[in-house]
Amino acid sequence: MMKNILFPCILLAVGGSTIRLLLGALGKEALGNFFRNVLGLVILLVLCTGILGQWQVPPKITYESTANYEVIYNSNLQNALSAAEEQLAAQICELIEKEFGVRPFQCQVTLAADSFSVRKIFVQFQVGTPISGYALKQSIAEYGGEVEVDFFA
Amino acid sequence: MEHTYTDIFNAAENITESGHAKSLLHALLQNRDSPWETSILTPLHSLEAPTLGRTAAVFLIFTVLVKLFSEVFTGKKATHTAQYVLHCLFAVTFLLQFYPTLETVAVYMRDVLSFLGILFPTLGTILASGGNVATATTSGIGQSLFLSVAQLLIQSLLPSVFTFFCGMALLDAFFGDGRFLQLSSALKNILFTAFAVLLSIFFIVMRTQNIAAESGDAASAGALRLLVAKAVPIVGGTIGDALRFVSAGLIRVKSAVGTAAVVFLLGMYLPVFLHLFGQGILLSLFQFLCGFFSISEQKEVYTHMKYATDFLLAVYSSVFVIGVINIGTFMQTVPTLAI
Repeated sequence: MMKNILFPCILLAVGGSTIRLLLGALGKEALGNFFRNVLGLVILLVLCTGILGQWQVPPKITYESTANYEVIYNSNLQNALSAAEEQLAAQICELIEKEFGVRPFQCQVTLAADSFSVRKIFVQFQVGTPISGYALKQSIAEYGGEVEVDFFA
Repeated sequence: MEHTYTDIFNAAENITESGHAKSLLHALLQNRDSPWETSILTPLHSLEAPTLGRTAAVFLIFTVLVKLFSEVFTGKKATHTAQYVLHCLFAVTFLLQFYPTLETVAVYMRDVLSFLGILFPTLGTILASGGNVATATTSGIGQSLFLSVAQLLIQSLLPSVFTFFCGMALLDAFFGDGRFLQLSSALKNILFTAFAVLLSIFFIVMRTQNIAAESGDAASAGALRLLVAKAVPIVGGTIGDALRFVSAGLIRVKSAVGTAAVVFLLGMYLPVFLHLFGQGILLSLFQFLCGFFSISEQKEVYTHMKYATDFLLAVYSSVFVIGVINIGTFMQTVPTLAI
């Protein structure tokens, strides 16, 4: 704490000034002036030594060393992935509706975080929907990844 | 995408030290749609200048009275001693009051650095997500360098310099006849010159890097679009709605994060600026009054303190300005994928 360096300086200054005033009162002004100069230099030395002793070089900030960087990076990447997955799922739903005339109950897309490529497509219909699972898989095969078609009651 | 904003401000709220920074970040999280409505003027009551002003005024009045007394009465030696003791007492009291006020300011600026330490990497990630990989890389290097230098200045150099000036003021009050003021003046000149050179070099490096990055992004834009078109399969094989959606999301997040970050920096810097600026005016006023009443010893103490305050203000202002410039550069950058 830099502030603590000032306290020995204040103590030295107060003590030194009292002695100097006493010397002046005794009529030894030349000695008092000499004492003043010497004490001034001593306090300067104490001050500079104290500052150099307390000097700390802070650690270099790099992105990798920032504590929250990894968390924020991963979270941001996850957010981007989720947005792309939602958009892609909506497009697949529209594509199916346009090609087969029926809208799926649900479309889900899972992307790989490392390559942004499609890992899995999940399409769900109600039982009795007039659509061929095979034809559907063929039509969305260009997206890549595993395609799963489900019919629920 | 929407969570990015919350993530940054939550993380910053956890690592900041001052209550003001925490409340400001909390308010920004609450009013994310209208960040400018967040009150940035709340901490102005924490200014300590009036307390210092009272101390300085009391000692000035006493010193003037003792001086007048010594001119009227013949016992010059006794009144001279009384003047000296009063002056030493003033120096110690004033310095012990002056020091803590600057510690509050230092905490605020440390919070600014902590916030930028979280913000800058996120900005880089958002820029890179938008395809501006070259800009993100060069900005990252510049920002990393800036944060390191700012941390060195704020956490190591400024406390040392400030303590040194305080020590010089003390020495001048007790033993000086202007000799220590010469030393302070020389140090002040060296510090300001070195700081000006450092700042110029930093701006030149930053500008050069940005120009290189812009051309780098422009050159690789086509390649990036191709890369994204392959990575995220788009119906029809062209860059269509999905990409526009991601770009629009990035711009929205960019704009919200950038605006809120500027509001936070302003909210943190404004009290610091007003505090130091007010203190500077107060010191100048008492310098003038001491000169007016021919009290050179007290005037010298104020001069040392003025040097310290001026240097602090210069460094803190530069950190704030460079921080805002960096955020501005980020907000100006249009995602390459959206072009």
